Amino acid sequence: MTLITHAFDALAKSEKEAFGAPDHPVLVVQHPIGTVKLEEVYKRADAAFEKLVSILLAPEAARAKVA
Amino acid sequence: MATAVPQAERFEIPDDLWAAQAFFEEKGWSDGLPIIPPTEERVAQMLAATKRDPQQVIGAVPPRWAQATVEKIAINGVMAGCKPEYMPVLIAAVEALTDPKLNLYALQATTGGPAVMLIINGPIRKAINVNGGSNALGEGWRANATLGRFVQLVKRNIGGSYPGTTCKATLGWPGKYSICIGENEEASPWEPLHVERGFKKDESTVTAISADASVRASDLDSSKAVGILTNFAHRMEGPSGPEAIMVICPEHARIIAGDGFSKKDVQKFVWERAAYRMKDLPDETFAQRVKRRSDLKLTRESVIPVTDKPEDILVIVAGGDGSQSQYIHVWGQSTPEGGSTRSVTKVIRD
Repeated sequence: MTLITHAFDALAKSEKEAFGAPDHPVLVVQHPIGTVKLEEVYKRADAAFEKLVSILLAPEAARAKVA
Repeated sequence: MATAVPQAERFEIPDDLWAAQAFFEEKGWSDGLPIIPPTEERVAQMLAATKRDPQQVIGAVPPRWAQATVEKIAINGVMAGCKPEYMPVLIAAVEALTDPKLNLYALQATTGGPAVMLIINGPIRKAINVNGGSNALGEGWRANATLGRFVQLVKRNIGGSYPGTTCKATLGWPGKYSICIGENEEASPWEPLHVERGFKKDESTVTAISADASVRASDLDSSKAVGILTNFAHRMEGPSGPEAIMVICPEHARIIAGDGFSKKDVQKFVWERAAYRMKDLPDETFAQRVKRRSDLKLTRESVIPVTDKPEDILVIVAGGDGSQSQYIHVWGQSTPEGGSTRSVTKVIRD
């Protein structure tokens, strides 16, 4: 799976199509992460963590739907 | 001469030029400047200027990873305003653009917004009139203007790079429209870039390199190499890159070489002085640098040189009269693995 910020959503979609992998799971977190305080980064990571685990534990064919 | 039948899709477009431009804009095929309509006749003239088969694939262009065939290269060459005799340069340019070492995907996708600069070496410069003299980075020469623009149109029309979605440049800069320069080999006291890189002097090459906006390294006060190069190095201070470009004007080059400096001496002298000084950084920035380059074991007394190695500084001679050189920062991280992008030089063949 791939983890991105939402600013790169369209690019990720384009890449999935280009590589013929429309079901590749992509987990999107809020942009930006480079210029926010560390506590905020941890907060976003915590918020994404449960979803990340559920994607990784899902059967491969169902991962995109979970994401 | 190529004989295979072109396979690109055909469109009926209005004869009226303004209406045709509206069509190109609606399709998303324009960089904002007027497009030369790639009619069958014009594309055929481009294809006649190469021995390659129109359907030969030269490389895959990110982010769409679409195949750049010779035919598609010809079409985008026409659209950019290139002359048929540029065709071998266009093919070599796409070979360079699609070489994995350049990492065009990263250059397209980054918020950094670099251009891809072309540096032309060898006899082809004279044959197609690529400017390496006065105003070499400015306007006025069709070859420079349209070869650079061709790069942008290939990224857009073959690669699918669209600002805001698949091109994530925060600002970009005007060099993204076009940046192409010939090295002024005749005015250089040193061997040209392509010879440094193992090509013969009578071969022609195109070098593709990531490029941010340039900084003028003016110096009318120094009459010695040490002065010119010290002042030049100050212009290069700040965050490092995987490579750096020194465009040295002929007047400066003559003084520097006259004082016995080889190109390697220039690289070493500047590399030892152009630095990112950790003592000057705010605490938070310093802490981030320490994390990013843990391999360097940075302290407040450390300096990060402009590139990891002196030989990563490209030294080319270009320009006309005047004591005005330029520094061009190369976008990308210098990393323990050698950097996120590297310049690529390809020989130009028929």
